[in-house]
Amino acid sequence: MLCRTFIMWMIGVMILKAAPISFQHEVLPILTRQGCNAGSCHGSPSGKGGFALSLFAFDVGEDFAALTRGLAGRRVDVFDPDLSLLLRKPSNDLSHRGGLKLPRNSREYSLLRQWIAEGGRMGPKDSPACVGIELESAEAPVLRWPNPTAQLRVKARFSDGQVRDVTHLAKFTTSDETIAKVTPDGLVTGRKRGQAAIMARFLEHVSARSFTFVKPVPGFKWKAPPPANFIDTHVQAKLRAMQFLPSGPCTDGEFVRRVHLDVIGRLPTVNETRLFLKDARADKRARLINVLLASPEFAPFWAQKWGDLLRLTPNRLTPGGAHKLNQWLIRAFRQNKPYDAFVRDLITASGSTLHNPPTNYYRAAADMNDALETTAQVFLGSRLACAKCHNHPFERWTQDHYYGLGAVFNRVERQPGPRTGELFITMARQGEVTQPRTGQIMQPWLPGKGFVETEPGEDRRHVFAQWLTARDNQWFTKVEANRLWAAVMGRGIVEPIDDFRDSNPPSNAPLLDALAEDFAKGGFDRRRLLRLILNSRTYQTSARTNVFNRDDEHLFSHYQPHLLTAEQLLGAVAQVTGLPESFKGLPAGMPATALPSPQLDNSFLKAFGQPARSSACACERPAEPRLGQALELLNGRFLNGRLDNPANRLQQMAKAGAKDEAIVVELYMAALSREPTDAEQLAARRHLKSATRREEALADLCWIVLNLNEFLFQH
Amino acid sequence: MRFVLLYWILAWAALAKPVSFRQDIAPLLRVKCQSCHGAREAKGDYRVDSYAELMRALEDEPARVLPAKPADSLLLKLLLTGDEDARMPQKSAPLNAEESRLFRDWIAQGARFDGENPRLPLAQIIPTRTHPAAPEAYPRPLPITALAWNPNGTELAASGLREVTLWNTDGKLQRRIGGMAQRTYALSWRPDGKRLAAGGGIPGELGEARVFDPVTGTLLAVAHQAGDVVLDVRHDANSTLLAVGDADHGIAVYNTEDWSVRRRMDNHAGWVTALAFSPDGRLLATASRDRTAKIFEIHSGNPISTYGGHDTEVFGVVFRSDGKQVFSAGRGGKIHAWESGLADIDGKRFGARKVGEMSGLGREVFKLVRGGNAIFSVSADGRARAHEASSRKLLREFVAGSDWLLCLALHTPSHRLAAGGQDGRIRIWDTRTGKTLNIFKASPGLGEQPTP
Repeated sequence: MLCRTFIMWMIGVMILKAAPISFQHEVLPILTRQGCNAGSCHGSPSGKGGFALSLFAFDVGEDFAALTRGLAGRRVDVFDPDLSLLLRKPSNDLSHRGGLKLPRNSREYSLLRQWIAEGGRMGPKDSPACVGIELESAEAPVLRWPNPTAQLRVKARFSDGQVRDVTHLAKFTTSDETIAKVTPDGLVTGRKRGQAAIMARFLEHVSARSFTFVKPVPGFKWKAPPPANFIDTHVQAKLRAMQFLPSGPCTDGEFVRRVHLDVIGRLPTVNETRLFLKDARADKRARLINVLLASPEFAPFWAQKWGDLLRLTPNRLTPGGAHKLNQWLIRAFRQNKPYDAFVRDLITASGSTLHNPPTNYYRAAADMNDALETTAQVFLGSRLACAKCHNHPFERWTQDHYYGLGAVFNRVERQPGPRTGELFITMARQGEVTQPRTGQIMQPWLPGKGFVETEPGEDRRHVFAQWLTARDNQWFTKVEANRLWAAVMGRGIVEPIDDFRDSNPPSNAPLLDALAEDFAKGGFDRRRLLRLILNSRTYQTSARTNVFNRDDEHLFSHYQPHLLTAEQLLGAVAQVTGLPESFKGLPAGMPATALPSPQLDNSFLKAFGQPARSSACACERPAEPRLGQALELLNGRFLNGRLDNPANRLQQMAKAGAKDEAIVVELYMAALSREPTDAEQLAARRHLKSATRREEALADLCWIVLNLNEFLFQH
Repeated sequence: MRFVLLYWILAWAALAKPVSFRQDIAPLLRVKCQSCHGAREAKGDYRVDSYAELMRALEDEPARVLPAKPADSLLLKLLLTGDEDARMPQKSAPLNAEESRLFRDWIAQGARFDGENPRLPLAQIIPTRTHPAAPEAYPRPLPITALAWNPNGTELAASGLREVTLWNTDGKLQRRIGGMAQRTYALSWRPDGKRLAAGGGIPGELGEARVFDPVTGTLLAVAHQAGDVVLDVRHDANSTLLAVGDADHGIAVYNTEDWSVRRRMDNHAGWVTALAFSPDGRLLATASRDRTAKIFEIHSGNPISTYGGHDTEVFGVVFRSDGKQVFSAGRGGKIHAWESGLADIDGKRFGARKVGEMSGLGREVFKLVRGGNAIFSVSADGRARAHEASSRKLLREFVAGSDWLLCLALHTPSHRLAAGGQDGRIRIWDTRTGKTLNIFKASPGLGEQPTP
């Protein structure tokens, strides 16, 4: 009996063993795992050394032909597997430009060899397909020294219900090599404290897990003020876990400057600063926040941010369209139009670009590809363009998804209207999208929901917009909550703000979740969410660091100083000198932060990164300093023309007989929202006294202050 | 101290077994180094693809190999260093102990060249290899990559596994000629029927053209050696020349009398996939994976025309019967008809002009042959086709199935067209009627009966 059981078991084992190696589910993943089909190697469009594979194996048929058909047995020799170039080159039996990628004693080598020995076959057409993967770990998402390691396992689910462990076939990558490394077999090890996402890829499926690495800091003792709202609770929880100590609050002078620039885009006037500093009420910061959010200057400043995203330029939208859309944006912010309604208006817009301004969305996005890529980037925070030609290299987006999303927008038609520059946006009743690689007709696809059926003749944009703006659509709410956060904090919780993906995790996930939830619950009220952020201690933290948070750049333990935007800076210089810039064709005195569209001929704005609005990407506004900026500050026409101008605020004061001391105070208050220190006052006065020409000395003094980091930076 | 070391090295070198450049060093250089330090890409301006190049001193620098001074030779230092970033071969496993010993001993023994011409490419001086025997019976059908009729049309030579197989028109196996390397990609009978040339090799490692007595199977010469497989061999009409093209980008024309080299042409930048002599024997047309087809003048070796109209790999090439037009085909499913000699520069003619095309031949066209005024082709769509050369009209389609047809052979006097496919079968058609005369599996031991 026992003997028979044993024989049955043996037969069972042999049957299991006898399952042939699958080309699609084993061979291709190995090629991905060993890096063969990476973009820098054989996965590049023209391949390497005459051998081309599809990027990360997205084209099974082509890869099979390239391997098995190229010169009948060159790469894969089923008669003499060991002579297959597929084995000989990457194992360095023959010289291989790509180096040693497949050691002879590796499991990957034997799997490939076995597949060749079995005949190098594609396998049955009806074999179950992989429908998804799970990335599992027995360890908690927080890993601590002395043992900051976790073993990941990848489980693949197949269409026949089977679940298989494919850890040995998956490719692991880390989002930050300096913080955590991962072995080819999925063992994660922390290198220093911080956060990193580990991503696993199996075929076109991608999954990621985020790990936090905590290392005890000698001498660290937690100390923090009581939270002002839930934002502080989440920020502090993260800081405490990671052992960073929050900085103290910023001064009133810092606050009044910071909050003016962030909410209405300009410096506070000397008078506004004086009144605020004198105000003795305990809730004066909250009051100021309310005043600024209700200010008429609020709407044009925020409309300008959206003008960037919607590519609002007279060239693209015609002067009429650009003007109308800008007015529409200003009105939306003035009325505090709920974000979901705001987005629905844009996405489902139909009619004349001159009558119904949101239709200009489809004028800027001039075809299906543009419409779907822009929509994904602006509202879902996903950079999708890669998936047009192949599956996205770092994300779960596939080519099917791209064209499925395309099916939402392909019926948008753009026809010239009777008036100059007018365009009519209408919806065709039919028209389908074909996936170029498979030739399949695509149904509209909604992330997280899949392909959906729509009624014939139904405007698919409505189906999409309904899904997009639903309160429980986390992508939608998080992207805007993060964008609002980044607008006033200088850095997103997800950064870049339009690049949400598993492999780019939020620096504080519970914080972003809570913000998004509050945003949706509050009826997509953007001012409400801004008020919440601005009232948090986190926003009002000093930019000065302490020994326990010097290294932190992502977790908001201190305010992160950042260069003023081009428009803010131009406005600030104009304000300090009392000499506004005038722009062609626009009302005199219009601040740069209210400009409806970019001033392409203004070298100062250009140098400091005013975007030309040629794409919807947030990256069009560069964050890195550039040489042109230094030149503008040293000797630029805009700045120079204001320093020794007799109408300059300081020159005027001097002419009116003001004392040196008062002039210096006025300058510091206007530019830095604070009084000069005794040493600064002394040095400034000494300079003015010693000068032979007072006008020149005043210009020098003004130039010095306008070149201080304290002036150039939001701090 | 240095003298002690030198003495020790010399003594040791004297004791060590003699190392041969051709036997021991050249194969290692070829396999380990030449892909980065060859004629095509000379990283660090250094080549190792011939003995002369290996030993050459660069300007203001000592040679990489200093005879009898292994410790001072940069080559050996770079092979043996523990610094992985500097070590050769880059990004690869280091040489094993035996390989290192060979290099060290060879240099210590004087780094001598044991061949005749130190300028010859390594592939040509590496001694002829003996290949394992062909299997008695094939485990599965072998794709047929080369076919050739003997001059009187009674026997068909076919590519086998480490051999050439010979079949009669009924599909009966006549003889097997062994001694070939792994794969055979080209076959050519000398017009007198007394010699059979076969080209092939081991992918990525070795290319060979071997010449046999087709009756006895005796190996008469290894006419050509290269660093990658030979893809075509062609006899000229006078039986005096044999042209060989290989995947090492090389073309060579040999005198069949003594196998001396008549001409070498290295103008292609990719595998040379096909060759064709002009009817008058003066010109050689070539096709290449570098997306061009060329015409060479044989007596000077000069390229007189380059056709770049394909934009894809070119696999087949043939002259029209009057020699004035060339047909070439490859990926893209079109046969291009073109003429040479548009531009006249310094008395030489360059360029080529497209005169027409035949389209709709499937995804890939693999081979072309000429028969009278017809151009025959085989394609990946499982069909052979005959087109009229002058009108470029389709004359007839020969349908084999859906699997790729890889090669073909035409016997004009008996109107027999044979095609070999990925499925391992040979099909024979009558070109006048399109009738299938025979289908058989050309894999010894697989025992499928011919179906007349």
